[in-house]
Amino acid sequence: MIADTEDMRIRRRFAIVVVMFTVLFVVLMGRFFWIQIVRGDEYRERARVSFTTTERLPARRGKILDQNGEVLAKNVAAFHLKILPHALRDPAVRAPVMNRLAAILTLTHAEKDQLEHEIEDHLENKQGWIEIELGRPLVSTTCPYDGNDLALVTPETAAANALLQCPVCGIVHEAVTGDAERCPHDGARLTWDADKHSATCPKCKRSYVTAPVCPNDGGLLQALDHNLQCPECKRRFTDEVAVLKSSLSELPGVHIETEFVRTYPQPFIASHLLGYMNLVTAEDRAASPGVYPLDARVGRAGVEAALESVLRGRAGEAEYFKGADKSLVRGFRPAESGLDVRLTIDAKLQREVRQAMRYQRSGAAVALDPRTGAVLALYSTPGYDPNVWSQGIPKDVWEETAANPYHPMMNKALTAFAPGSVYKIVTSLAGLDLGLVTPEDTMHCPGYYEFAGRRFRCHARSGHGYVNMEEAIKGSCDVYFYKLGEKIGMDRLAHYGEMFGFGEATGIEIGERTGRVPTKAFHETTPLGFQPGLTLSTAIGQGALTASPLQVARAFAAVANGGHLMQARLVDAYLNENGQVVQRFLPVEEARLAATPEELATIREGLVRVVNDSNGTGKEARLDTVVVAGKTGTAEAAQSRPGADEELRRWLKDDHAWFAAYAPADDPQIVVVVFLEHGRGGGHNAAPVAKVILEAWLRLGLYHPRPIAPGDLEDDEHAGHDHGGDLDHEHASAGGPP
Amino acid sequence: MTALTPTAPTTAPREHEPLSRELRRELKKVQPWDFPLLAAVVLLLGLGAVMVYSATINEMTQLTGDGMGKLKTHLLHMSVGIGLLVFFTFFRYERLKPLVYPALVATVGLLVLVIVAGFEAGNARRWIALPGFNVQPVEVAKVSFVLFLSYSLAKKGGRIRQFTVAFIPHFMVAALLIFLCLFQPDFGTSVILVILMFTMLFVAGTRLSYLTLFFFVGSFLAFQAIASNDMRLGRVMASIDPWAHRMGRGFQMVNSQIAIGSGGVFGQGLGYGGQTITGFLPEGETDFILSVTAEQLGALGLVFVSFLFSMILVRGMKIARATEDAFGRYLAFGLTLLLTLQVAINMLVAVALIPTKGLTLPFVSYGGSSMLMTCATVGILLNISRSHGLKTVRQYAPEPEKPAPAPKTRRQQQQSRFSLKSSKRPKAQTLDEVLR
Repeated sequence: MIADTEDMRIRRRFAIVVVMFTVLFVVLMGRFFWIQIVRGDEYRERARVSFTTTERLPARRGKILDQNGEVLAKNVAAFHLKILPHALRDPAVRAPVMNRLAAILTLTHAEKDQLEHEIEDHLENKQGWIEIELGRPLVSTTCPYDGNDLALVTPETAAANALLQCPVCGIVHEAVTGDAERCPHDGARLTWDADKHSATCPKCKRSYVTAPVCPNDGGLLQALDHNLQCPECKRRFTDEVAVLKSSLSELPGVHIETEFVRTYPQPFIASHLLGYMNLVTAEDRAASPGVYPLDARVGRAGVEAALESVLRGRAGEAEYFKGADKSLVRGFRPAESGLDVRLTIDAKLQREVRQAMRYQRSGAAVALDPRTGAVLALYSTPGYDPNVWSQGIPKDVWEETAANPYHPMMNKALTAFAPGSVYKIVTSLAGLDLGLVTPEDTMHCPGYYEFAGRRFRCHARSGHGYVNMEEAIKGSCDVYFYKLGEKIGMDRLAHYGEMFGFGEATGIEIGERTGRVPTKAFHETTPLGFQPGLTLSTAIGQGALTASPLQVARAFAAVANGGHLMQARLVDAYLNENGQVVQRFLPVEEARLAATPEELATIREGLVRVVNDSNGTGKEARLDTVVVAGKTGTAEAAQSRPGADEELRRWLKDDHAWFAAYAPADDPQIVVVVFLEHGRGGGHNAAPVAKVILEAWLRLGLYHPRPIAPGDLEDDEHAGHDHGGDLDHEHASAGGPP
Repeated sequence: MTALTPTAPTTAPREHEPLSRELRRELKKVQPWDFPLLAAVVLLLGLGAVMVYSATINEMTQLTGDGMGKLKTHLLHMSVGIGLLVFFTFFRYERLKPLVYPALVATVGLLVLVIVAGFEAGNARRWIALPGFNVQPVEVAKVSFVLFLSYSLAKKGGRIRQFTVAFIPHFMVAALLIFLCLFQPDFGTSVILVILMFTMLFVAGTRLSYLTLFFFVGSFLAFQAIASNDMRLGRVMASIDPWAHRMGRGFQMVNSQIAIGSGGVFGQGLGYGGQTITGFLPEGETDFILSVTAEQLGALGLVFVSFLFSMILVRGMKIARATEDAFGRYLAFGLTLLLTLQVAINMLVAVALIPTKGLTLPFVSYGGSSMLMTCATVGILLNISRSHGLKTVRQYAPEPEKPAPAPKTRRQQQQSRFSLKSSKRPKAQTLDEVLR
């Protein structure tokens, strides 16, 4: 019995212990339930935050192409090697990784030691999670020295000389046989050292050795397999990025970051047109929230700025597990590349324009297709190197630019200046259209015009005598236009000016200044108020009137094409990554000149005579092959500027030189406007530049003579009227402007 | 085993009358060993291998390039452990009695050695480096302490109600072990030893008043021990509000909680635990393997693991209750208690209810000493469970004075206990005689 009760008691106590444990397990299960089910979402979110990191995947910025697909702005990928010291905290892991890296990147012992030292430093200072960046970018497909695309070395060239690198000093030598006398690269005679072990080429400075021992420090040379060569500088490289990427799994803690650097392969030909990139400002970030990271670069001028939203694309996002290797991705949204922009610019013509303008201190030239309003070339001088600006402008360059009196950053093709006599086409058309004058009416020019007690001079002091409209245009007779302008009056003249697109936006996609067409109302806001003499000044393109070269070009295009005022266009199409057209832009006719074909014909006849008559003001632009029509302009624009030296003061006193031309006269396919700031005479200085541009245009084969096309009804209709009083040239019967 | 077969007449059951229904039912209850317990252990071992691999693959790949490095070691431990398990299953537990005191002495020796010559990892000196592997003496200490308690309690029998008999010797041994453990320092093991002792004394029938007294004294001493050590105090403070210490002492607890919490119902999938992969959960393969499991397998995984451990508890207690032999009963109870205590403390740590202890999760965690000792524990439990079958048989066995079963040599007896078949076969023989 006693044993029985003993047993009972022990069983009871067993049960108590089991119950206690059961309670414990119930508590545990409750806790699990609480953590996992009740508050699970909260912990999941905490976990996501604590062990993942989102990385921005930069979008490739769109390229800028010319109309033939020539690249004007592109992106070069720059690769940076980053090392996470935490992943290499184990010395047994670090050593092989560093050896491997040193071998791939051909680091010298000193460089390798320095890198290792840096890693140890980080680890000691508890900065194991702060990445170390290799001092230089990795070589991939472009030469780090001159940016040329690297080419694969052909086997026979590779066999010619093995590359040997010294792991101590890092210098690369080439293997050569002891009896070699000439440098295999340039054929210069080698200079051998005393013991015939090493040689140098006096021309290319390459070092040659006959045995794999470094002549500088005796280090044992190691063979390199640099199989890429820069076609320019002949240096040889390894595609380090490719090699590293293929062995990343064996290199814990190492990863490669890709960055796109905007480069302009032909930096000076169209700097103002393309613009440049610059660091994003707080305002930009505020204006488009979430688009730009802190270190983003934003287009600042020209096409880069105007089409920023098209070019920039959309950055992607990848959510990684925090940790050494970023192989595991949780969320991923790929980056969307920006669209490529194809411009109407012809890079070949643009280069020629730059060539033609090379002696000019300051000015601009515009070439326009009068049929479509497409800008073929747009150049402003002096220019700047957008590459320098895009990579962060050095202080000295900035100061130099700011001190330059010729304003290199200003796009003068889109800035308004006094147009001078090129504006006389507006006065002419206004006079004809209002019926104030007929083409045959003559006026006397004694060399000046007395008006309101003031003598308004003609540029020809001796006067032009009796001139009709064509002759007045040809000789750019100021007195004729003073008298005509007096009849027209300020506001009616302004109306015609606006009809030609002056004082208004041209429609070009990039930022421009619209200039000013003065009216009475405008002058009454000025301190002097309106005076009748101002009408006379305006009639010859002086006074308060300003116009940009592009506006002048557009007005001339309207005259050339029979009265169609076309919108100026710079962007031809947006292309996607594969070169397919996403969006295409067509010519837009903004307005039509209120002018009869006869009236326009009179003006065109005058413009032809400006260039082609022996005493025409623009005779220096005459070409033998096609008939050029044009108009010179010499605008008084004497300025003074504080702090200007003698040279600059003299320059500032000179007139602006203008020359606006189109060719061929009977089938206009190009309008060229040359503007030289303080360039003195339009006929003497600007016209030759325009002639060079037109010659280049012909030489490049951009002029397509129109065969006789009777099917074109609209053109025929115009042709019948337009060319009624025209001089006959070979294409006259073929039809006028489309 | 096969050598025995010829001695047993294989045709014997057919020659005689069929067994009575009642007897056959009784015989069905006789199991060679406790299968549910074994099944739970095997499942836990399998799960442990998977979770250890999942918890270490990333870090090992990074550090050594061989993602399976720790898994291989774990599998090695496991195979040695299984060997031990099999060995102890067939090693009569009564024969452990003479080993109790040598084991205790060896344990003390090891504990002294670890203080003198052990190497430090983390903030504690817990391992003795032997060529090829490291030994954690506290794991041995726990088992040998249970052995000692069982032996001692069984020997004292009814005298356990006397204060001096019940407390003095056990307290002496416990105090010595705890003292040595605190030198490492290993507070977790000390707590386990104390709880083991109290619970076993309680079950053995000690007066509750003594236990209550010692509970308070012990609590006071524990408080002293905690307050005297900055690390312990910090851990306790951190466990009270881990989020306030999330960058310091509470780091592990917070991340363990996050790991468990982010598992949800179905888990993130094997190998997909973010906390584990990123190394945010330190000791994921040892102390916090439960968090790794919870993160990757979710609530379902936890329920599964808890079920298996409950199974071990229930079966272990059942074995203890069914054992008549006092030593066997205390031993089965003590070993089950040891396993369950470790499980409970490990889980409580993982869910941040008590401070970090540095205790592994039996069968699942990575860790050689722990694996070996827990496997041996299960082996002993299985062996005790085997004795039930013998007991049942013995119930039906003829009275000793009957001559029928030829007295076997000691050698034969021993061999027969090693054999599954032979343990039934003599029984069949004796039953025949009973029926006859």
